[in-house]
Amino acid sequence: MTDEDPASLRRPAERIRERVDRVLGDLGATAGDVVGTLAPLRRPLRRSDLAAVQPALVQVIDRHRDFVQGVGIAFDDGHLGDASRWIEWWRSEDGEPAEFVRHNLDPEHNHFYDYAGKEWFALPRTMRRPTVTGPFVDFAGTNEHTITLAVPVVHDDGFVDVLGADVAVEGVERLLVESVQSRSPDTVLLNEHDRVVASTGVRWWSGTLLRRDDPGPDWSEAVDLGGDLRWRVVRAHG
Amino acid sequence: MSSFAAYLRLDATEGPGLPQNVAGQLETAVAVGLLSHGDRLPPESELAAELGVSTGTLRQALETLRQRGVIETRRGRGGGSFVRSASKPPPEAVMNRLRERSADSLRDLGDACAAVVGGAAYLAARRAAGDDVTHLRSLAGHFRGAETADERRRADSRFHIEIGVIAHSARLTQAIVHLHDELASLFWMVGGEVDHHPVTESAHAGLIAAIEGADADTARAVVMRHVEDRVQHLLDLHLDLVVRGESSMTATHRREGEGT
Repeated sequence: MTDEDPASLRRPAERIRERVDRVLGDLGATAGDVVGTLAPLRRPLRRSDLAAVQPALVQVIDRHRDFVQGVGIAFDDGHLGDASRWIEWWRSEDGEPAEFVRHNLDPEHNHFYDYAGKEWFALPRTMRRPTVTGPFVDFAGTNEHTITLAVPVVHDDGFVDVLGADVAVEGVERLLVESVQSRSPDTVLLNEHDRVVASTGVRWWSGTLLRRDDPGPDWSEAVDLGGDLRWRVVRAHG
Repeated sequence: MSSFAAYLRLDATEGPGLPQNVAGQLETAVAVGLLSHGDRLPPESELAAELGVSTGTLRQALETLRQRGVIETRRGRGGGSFVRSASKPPPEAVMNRLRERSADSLRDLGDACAAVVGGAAYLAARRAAGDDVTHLRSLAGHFRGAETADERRRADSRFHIEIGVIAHSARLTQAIVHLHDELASLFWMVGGEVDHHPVTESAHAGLIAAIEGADADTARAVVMRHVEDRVQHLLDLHLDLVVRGESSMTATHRREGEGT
């Protein structure tokens, strides 16, 4: 067996933490820009005012093209005068220019995207701090197995919107797999629910839950990613 | 011919994307063995009616397939459009496809395949009658007699499609055509080494026995287990390609040599 020492667990942990921190840092700075851009505008804000912040959103995608597919703002209830809820979200796939993503915000519709109750929106908004949510299947949103990195956008008028970035699970998977030198034993990345985000083994499938009584994982050596991530990496013997 | 067209799925209504969609569906029909090498397609008007598209749309689709070398058209008496034998993609191309795919997407495909084929197997075990089991056995025989990876893939897909047919579910059959073929095309092109044939044969046999014994739970379990094995095998090859940058074949053979 090679790659058994804890340093080899720290390498993927640090690599993923560093990549996520870079996006969260950028989102934090962009949230400041958004507040500054919207502050002088007449209240209540209207959807047409958002053209002013659109370039800043698309620039975040451009700066993180290898990792982030979508960036946008989900608005606090009542913050806009001409829509009770609104998502100004932009997405780019395979290097294409970013396009506006239309979400269905009509509660009567089957594909209603009820974002107010979703963790990626509610958590940063109420905790007033950056959060990482997922992986989850973002039905009626990205429709993919997604991780959302998000920060609160706190305005002087008391409204708190959420600025977020979508990362496909496979982006995190790539970071993990490329940062290990050997596949033996398996390295497994878990979220706060002990749900597998990605792994280097064939038994630990993304989206599945690792159980405490499973004989495979070695819990004693877990390395926390820290920061705003409630994730950790563990070794497992398949 | 009892129409293969019923198993195809057209997502678009008449419009610019439709000929491409029709072409793609016909290509899938060839890939899964609903249409085999040398088969003559029905006359254009008949096929267009079965697919529910205009003859103009069908003609555009057939032109695309001619350009891709999937079909050829012969003129004169006994003429018409015929399915050509499949050209096998080069191994590096298939390997690249497996490298580029994420483990997350392989797992997702496997889950869908296990649920759909597993559910169909459960129903098939409760609904099989008459010569259903005999028919399934003969399709398993085609698989045993297959000589190339491409034949094996088509025979394996055809076997699994029959599970939906025996379940009397048009929708499940349609879903199996697409899901199973996507998994099988990867599996038989990169992972279908000789040592997997007995595994697949015994899974086929296990399923036939369960359906014959009207044991729905076992039928589902056999299928789900088998799909899981295939996904694990593909994940193993994928991860080797990404971590070690090695050809999956050499990696597989070396690990087998180590006896792990």
